[in-house]
Amino acid sequence: MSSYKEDLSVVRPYVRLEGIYKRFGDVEALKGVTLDIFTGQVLGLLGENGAGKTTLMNVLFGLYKPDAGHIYVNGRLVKIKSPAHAIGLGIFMVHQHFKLVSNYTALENIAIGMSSGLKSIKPMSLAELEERLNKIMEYSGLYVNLREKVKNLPLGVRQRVEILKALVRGIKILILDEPTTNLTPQEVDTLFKALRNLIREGLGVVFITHKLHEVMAVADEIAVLRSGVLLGRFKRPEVDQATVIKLIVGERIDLEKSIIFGGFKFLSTSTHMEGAANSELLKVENITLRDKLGTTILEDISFSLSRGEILGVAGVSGNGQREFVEVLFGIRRPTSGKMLLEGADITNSSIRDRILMGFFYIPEDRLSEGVSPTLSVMENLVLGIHFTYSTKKLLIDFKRIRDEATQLVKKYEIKTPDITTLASKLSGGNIQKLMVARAFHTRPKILIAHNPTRGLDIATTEKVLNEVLRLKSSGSGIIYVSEDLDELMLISDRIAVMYKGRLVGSLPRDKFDKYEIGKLMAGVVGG
Amino acid sequence: MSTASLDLATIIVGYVRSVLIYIAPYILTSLGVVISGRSGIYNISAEGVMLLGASVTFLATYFSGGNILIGISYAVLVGVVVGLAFGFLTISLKLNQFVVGTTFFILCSGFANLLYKLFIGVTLTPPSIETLRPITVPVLSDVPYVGDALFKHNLLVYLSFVLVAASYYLLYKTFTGLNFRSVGENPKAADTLGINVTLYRYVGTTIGTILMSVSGSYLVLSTTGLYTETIVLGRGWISVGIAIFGRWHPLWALVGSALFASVEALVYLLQSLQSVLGLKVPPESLLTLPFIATLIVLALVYKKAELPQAIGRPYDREAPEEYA
Amino acid sequence: MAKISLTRLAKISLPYILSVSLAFGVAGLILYFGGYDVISSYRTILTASFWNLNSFFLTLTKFSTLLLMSLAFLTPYISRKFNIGVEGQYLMGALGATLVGLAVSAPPGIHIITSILTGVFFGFLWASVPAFLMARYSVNEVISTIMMNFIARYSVIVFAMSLWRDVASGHPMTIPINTTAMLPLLSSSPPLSSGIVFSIATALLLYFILAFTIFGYELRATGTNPRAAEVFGVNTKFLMPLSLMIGGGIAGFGGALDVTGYYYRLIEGMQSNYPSLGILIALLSKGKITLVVPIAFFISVIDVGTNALQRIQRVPIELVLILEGLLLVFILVSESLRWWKK
Repeated sequence: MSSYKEDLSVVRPYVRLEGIYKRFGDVEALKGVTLDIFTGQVLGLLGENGAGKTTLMNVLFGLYKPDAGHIYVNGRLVKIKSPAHAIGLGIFMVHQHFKLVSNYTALENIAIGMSSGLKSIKPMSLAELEERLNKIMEYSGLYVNLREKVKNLPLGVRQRVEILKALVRGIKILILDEPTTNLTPQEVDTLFKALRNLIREGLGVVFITHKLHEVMAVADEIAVLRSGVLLGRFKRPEVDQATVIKLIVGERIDLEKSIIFGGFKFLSTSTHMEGAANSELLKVENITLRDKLGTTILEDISFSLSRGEILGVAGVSGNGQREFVEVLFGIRRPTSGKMLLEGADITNSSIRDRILMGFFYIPEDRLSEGVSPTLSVMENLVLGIHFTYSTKKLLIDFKRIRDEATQLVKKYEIKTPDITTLASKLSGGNIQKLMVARAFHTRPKILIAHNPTRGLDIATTEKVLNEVLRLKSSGSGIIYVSEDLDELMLISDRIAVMYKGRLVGSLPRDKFDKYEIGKLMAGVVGG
Repeated sequence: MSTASLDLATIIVGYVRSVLIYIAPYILTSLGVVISGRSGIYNISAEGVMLLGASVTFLATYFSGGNILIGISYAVLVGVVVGLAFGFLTISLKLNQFVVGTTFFILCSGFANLLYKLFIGVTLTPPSIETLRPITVPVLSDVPYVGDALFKHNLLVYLSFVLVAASYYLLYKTFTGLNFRSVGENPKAADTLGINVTLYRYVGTTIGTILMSVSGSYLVLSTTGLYTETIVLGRGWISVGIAIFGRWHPLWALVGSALFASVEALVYLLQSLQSVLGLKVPPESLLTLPFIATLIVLALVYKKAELPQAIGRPYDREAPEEYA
Repeated sequence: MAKISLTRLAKISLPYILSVSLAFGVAGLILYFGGYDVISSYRTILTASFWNLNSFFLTLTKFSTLLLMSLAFLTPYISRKFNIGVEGQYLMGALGATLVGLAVSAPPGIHIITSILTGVFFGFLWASVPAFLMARYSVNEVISTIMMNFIARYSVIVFAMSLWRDVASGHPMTIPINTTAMLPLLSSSPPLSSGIVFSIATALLLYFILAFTIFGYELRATGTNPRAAEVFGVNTKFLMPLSLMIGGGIAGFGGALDVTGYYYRLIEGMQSNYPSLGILIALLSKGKITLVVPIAFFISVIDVGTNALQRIQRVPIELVLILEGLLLVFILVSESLRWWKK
């Protein structure tokens, strides 16, 4: 197990997690996991959403207390009380949602908590810290403009600030949770190169992901988790992809028919391709959006969507995707430009009118935009079309809502004690299922989906993708905005890229190329 | 009135002097709201805490035979107790800060009046205590005009200015301040890097309530030396407004306090000049000026509004991440 | 609804029973240190309403006002807005009703109706200023409604001291309104205004609207997650200010009913402690109208009781505010602790 003749890392693991159990309510997230983590190597922690990878690392990082099991750091048994405690032990975790103060500069963010005692009330000087950081940026290859406010930094750079936080504190083990989510393919390469630099300096990295090809590119060893159980640990050269995939998904997916794993044969039934007359569903012309202060958020966006077409919109988060879908759905009015639905001008139509015309929306932020937490599951399932459930104009037809809700909960396997349960009691994945159920239930003519499979396990993701394809074959148009380029390439007829508020490129399916799209995502023009 | 005392210079000096008399409660309370807010706790109960501080100071001073120091000490003590209680409900129990703020406003006001009635009861002539004596700053107070206006005030007035400077320095020029403010901006970030979010928030809340309470002390210890149910008269609420349009920054809170002290001084000036200027306005209508002013200022600055990003939201380390 | 077992009922009500006991316990301590007889004070507080028909009708009168005040706070609270301005809205409603009651002469039915409607309208208008500032300038409604309270108080004084001032009285108040503007009494001796019928009707109407109509659904959706509601087409930008204005109208209604049915004039300070008590009632009921009614009645009983206590033993009337405030605090604490234990 520990025959690393090539590198000089210590034989004993820096961290040993032994028999870790963790339960949330009546869900057992971790069932007796034992894992060793070594310095000097990248360990890929692989598994689908909900497998327990993040939970396991959260335990190590002091965010959760294990119900049972032991943790050894550097050979000594420890009880990790808090993230700060974990950092003191040399462990740092960078989550998907960055922990940065957007109003502070990068340097100030790194400086938080770095002083102690009397030094804290003397006038603050960050010069020394800046010096140290410059050296670290040199050897790691992770450059950041330290004097810039974080809110002005792109996501890829913010991630580097998080990593620098760890490095300047002399961390031994760096845990990265799904770090490629918000990176262009080129930025991913930079990150992977940086990780190899860090490994050379003696760091150990744990790389959490649900994408096999990522661990194949960067990890030295791979550990596979499913439903809270560690199923296997492999050295990268020894990996057999098929075996690993089987371990990840178990028996629930028929790989022959799976969309995600390529068993499914995608038939492009887009009428756009056939050039049929009257196939154009939505036409967007020169949409520009400026905010109160005059900053341009969306610039001159034009495209058309045909019946039965899935338009995939790629791009790193923060390039205007949120505002883009909001303008499409009517949450915001564009400053200039036009939107036409089958020829009719709907630029200034209200959200309600658009819903009545056949639009629907799956927002990306499920907690703040997807549901009303203290309304019941049943009431949430009709949010948006609630006014269509009225008898005599004003009163709500609860019976109809109840019947339909019961069916939906069954169809989409939404785990809830009852349809009258408050939505806040649902897990994140089930809230996502609720949002998806609600959207598909309205049988929309145009569906606007923003990261609809975020946080979903593989089986549910398959289901959602299937529904999307079924919607497509019934003639609806779908605008699918996602940061997951792999997923977009699976189901889109065309892919366009959002970069700094502009919609660039429009690659048809037969011309899909990851690196070409990546160039567009990074703003390289003429790609 | 002889024409001599009506000359412009006297009026201006008198006006500036009265602005400085009225400014201290605004500064102290708004500073308290700001500091509390910077740690993430939105405390709207200021009006009630001020009244309680006023009541307690009056009673303690009165029953200790005029010992002002004891009076203020009791106000500080009350500030600590209220701060810890408010903190417990909002930080440890994570209750809604506006609900707790509204409740504490009602409770503290109720306690303030209750205590006064229990100890003093209803009297024909209300008892009074000695007020704080003004301190004449050597040399500076001899400057003509300016000296009278600025340098002959009591201790608490000078103290409030010192506190503004001190808070600005601590919050924005030291590591402690950086850490403290991060708790109000992104507690998860602070927590991860070793900052004890709970402790900082308790400290922030309590410093806030102490300042509010002492602000109330000032009201009974300056000018009249009396306590009445209406002694705070909305200044607590206006101070919350000052914190809001001061963008939760001590220096802007100072500017806002100066603005409202000026309005208050203007109201009294107009009232005293009524007979001279021949104004036949009912006195109460002038008294509405500060409140109307608050509404106008709040509306005017809405574009520039800025708050500590995590203010008003309880922090729970084990809470799921947004996209969990 | 499934049958609730006795043990489950006990478990649910335990924190409430504990909170009430604790609140009374602290009040008892205060009474003790104030040198009052605790036991007889308790007895007075809880039973004074029932000593005779007079005190009972007084309780019903207070209940009528408190019910409306708490509904006035509760309606905006459902869309998560804090209408601390119920005091000002109540006063302006009273002012409006008094104005029509004094300035106009009309046949009884019409006079009463116009007086009351004017009151409702004044309250509604008084809340529309903060509502507008909130909608257009994002001004925090807590501060703005409170500023309006102060302005209202002064307006009342100015009005009470002007044209229709009651010169004989030492306290700012108007002369009585024309008899044609007075609400009919349900009973004349002891007096009980028919206003209470309207209060209860308001509560019923509000309950129905919130539970069974689309408007109620949208209001509730707005309160629990305004962003999600907005995203899916609910006009939150309109509903939130509207709920504030409806609250104002309800408070104004309360003021108008008190003028036309009880005081028959505008008196400075007539709002007494009703606004604060009403706010606490709404918070205690956590936004459920079914709870508001019994809690409001309970608080009316205590209010009459502490008033009697003040007359008899000179106990400060703030006691009722403190009792209620402590009750709310203890209930909030017990709720969150119960969640902890899970």
